[in-house]
Amino acid sequence: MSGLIDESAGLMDGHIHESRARGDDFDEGRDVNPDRRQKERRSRPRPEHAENINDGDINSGPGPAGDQSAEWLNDQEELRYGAQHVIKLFVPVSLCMLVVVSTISSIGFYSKKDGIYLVYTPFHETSPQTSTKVWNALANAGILMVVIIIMTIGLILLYKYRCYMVIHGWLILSSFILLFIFSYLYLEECLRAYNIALDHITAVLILWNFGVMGMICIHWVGPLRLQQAYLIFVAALMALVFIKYLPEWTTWVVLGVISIWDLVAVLTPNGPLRILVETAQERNENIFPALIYSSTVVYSIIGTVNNESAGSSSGVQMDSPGDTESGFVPSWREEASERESARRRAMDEEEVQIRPRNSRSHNDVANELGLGDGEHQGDDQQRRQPAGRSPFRIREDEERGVKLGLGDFIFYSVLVGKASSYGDWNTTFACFVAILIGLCLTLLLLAVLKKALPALPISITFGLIFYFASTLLVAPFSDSLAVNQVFI
Amino acid sequence: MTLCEFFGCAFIGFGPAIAMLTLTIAQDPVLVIIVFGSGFFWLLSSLVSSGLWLLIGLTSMAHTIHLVLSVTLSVLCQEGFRYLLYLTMKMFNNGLNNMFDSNVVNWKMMSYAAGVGFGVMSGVFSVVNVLADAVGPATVGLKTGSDKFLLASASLAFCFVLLHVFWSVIFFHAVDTANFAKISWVIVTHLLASTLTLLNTSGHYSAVVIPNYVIVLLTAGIAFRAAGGTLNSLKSSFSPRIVVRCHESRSLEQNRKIARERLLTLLDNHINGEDSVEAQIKRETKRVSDIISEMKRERREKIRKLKESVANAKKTSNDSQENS
Repeated sequence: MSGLIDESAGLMDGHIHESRARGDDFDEGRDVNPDRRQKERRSRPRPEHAENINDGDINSGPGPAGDQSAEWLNDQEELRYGAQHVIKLFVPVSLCMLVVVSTISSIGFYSKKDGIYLVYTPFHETSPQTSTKVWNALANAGILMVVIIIMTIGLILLYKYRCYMVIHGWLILSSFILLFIFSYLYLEECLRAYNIALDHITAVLILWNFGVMGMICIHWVGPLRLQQAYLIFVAALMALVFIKYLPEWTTWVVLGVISIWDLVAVLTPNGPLRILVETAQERNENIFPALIYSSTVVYSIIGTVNNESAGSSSGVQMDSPGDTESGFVPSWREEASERESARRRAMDEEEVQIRPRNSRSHNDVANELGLGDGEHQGDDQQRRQPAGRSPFRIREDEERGVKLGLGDFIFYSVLVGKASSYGDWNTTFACFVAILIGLCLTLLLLAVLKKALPALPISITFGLIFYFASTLLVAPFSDSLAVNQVFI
Repeated sequence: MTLCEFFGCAFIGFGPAIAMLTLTIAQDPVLVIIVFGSGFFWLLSSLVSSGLWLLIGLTSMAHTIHLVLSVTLSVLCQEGFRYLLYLTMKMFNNGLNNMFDSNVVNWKMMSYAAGVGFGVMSGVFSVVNVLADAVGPATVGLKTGSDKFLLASASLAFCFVLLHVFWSVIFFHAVDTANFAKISWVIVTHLLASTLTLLNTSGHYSAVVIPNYVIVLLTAGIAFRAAGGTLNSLKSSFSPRIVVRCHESRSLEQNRKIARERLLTLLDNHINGEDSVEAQIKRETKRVSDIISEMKRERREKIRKLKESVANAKKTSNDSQENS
């Protein structure tokens, strides 16, 4: 269990580009045409076609205007593309919250307090006095935070000294516990809530298949969708465990404290998560898939480079996407990935000559493609063992995606789930929207700052503000309106 | 039964909103974000207005006056936040325009999405708890209260979702063109619609719902005009048209080419009918293939006849041998 708490502090590594380098050749004379085209678009109130990329086609005739319209469409495409990343995170976060909220509201087990709490929270807030409760909550949260900090630092140390086996063992063990034991508990409570009889043999069969498939998908290979689904489910289960086994006020204090810790861990120069991200970038590795939700393919194999170019340059390697082979619009390649820009900045500081991005010889590209198509398509390539010297994967797809730590999923869902456990749907919706807006702002900041950012602080702050404001202010107001059937 | 009621009321209230979200908003991520953003602004406005409600409640005044006052303030508050939303979105839009040197997102669509966000959020906040209670185990109207309680709530929620969409479209357009008549129409109809629902406590639902739907229809017309619609465009939207979609390639340029070719074919088919290139080609291929199959058939026939005659010849020769 602790394995998953560790990365709790959010870790976001990715980017959304906010601007692009534009070819100079198109700059003249293109100011007039887009406007005209826009007017043409406006004059036709047919919203259902706005998303259709061919909409612009029919307007823009062939001929010399083609280039400019392409440029304009590229702009549009690109903005969509940046926004697409936000949606790609909205969907899984919402799904995770949906699982938690629907479980909480349909299965009484997870919102019922039966006197059993996590070992990390020795004070149970049983006293009727508020001051004692506050003191208990603060003490519990402090203990939990200390545990989390120790675990995180332990993980970083293990990673720093390349004890990959230990980390993997740890992660596998924790996901094993979640996928088998907690899933069993979940299944049992589901069946109990809906009063369904199921014999033990079938239950074991289902759990075995579910769990083993999950282990394979998370730690080895599997379809992307399935892996994402498992990660979401694991995060939801973890959130349910927190909701169930943390005392009332401790949950709120923990949510507050953890977002502060997240801020510290990611942004201070020696913050553990920052070290983790930077080390991973230095080593050109993915951060462990069991800790991170990636919006795109984590182990998509586009190509591999040979050992020399991967290992020797110690992070100078520019794993820029190839030129034409993938059929992307050129502008998509213009995006400077967070990783790359960070690396470039580091290089600039050290005044090391770096190769321009697209200067990689065709030889290399061909090499990659050859290797990718030929020998390394096999499963040993797909294993995401971050072995230092092994041929590593080009992160073309992956770098364009945005990543969100599973811990962020967990704590978002804890907040929303906890809000829904009191039965007021207005509060739940308010928290949901507030968290997603927080996430949106974080991603906006990410696009501006282009460095790994903590995902918890803004969202959780918004969530907490809206939770308390809703329960104290909005809920009584909207209740009195609903009773009188007054609409505003 | 309660479950049926729940689903019925939920779909009356939010069916159109769901349709708008899935058909017009969901495909465009920018619009989805705008929906969430405007929902957030509505939340802020409800926060402020409930704060005001609490403050007014501190003074000892009659319940109805308190309600009327807080509803009025809340409406004004919402319109204020709509203006703030307008300013924010204008800033966002200008930023985008500076960044890309062109108008990347349709401003009309943005105002529409903002309206959807506002409307959905207000609708949700008005009825979601009532709906959640509607699931059961009990229901309204068996012993006391009106049995139309849920139905009225749902249809008013529907009304307000639509109204917020229209109001936003009108409001954004009106602020753009500094048209104060339209702005005041938005505020006045909002006040009117909200204060009308105060009559619900008396149980005369028809007196509330029907005027509200009249307001919806009027506002819809104004919103349609504000969005640049004309009678002509309304008519033409019902006449047949040709739509081409193309997602074959990942390259935009390539898609455009393919789409243009398809459009050409479709237009040709539409205009020339029987004499279009495609129809002609089809006809020709059919003719050729008919000829070929005819030839093949004839050949088969010939071979069969030949075989038969050979077999007959053999047979006769065999027979003659046997006979001899």
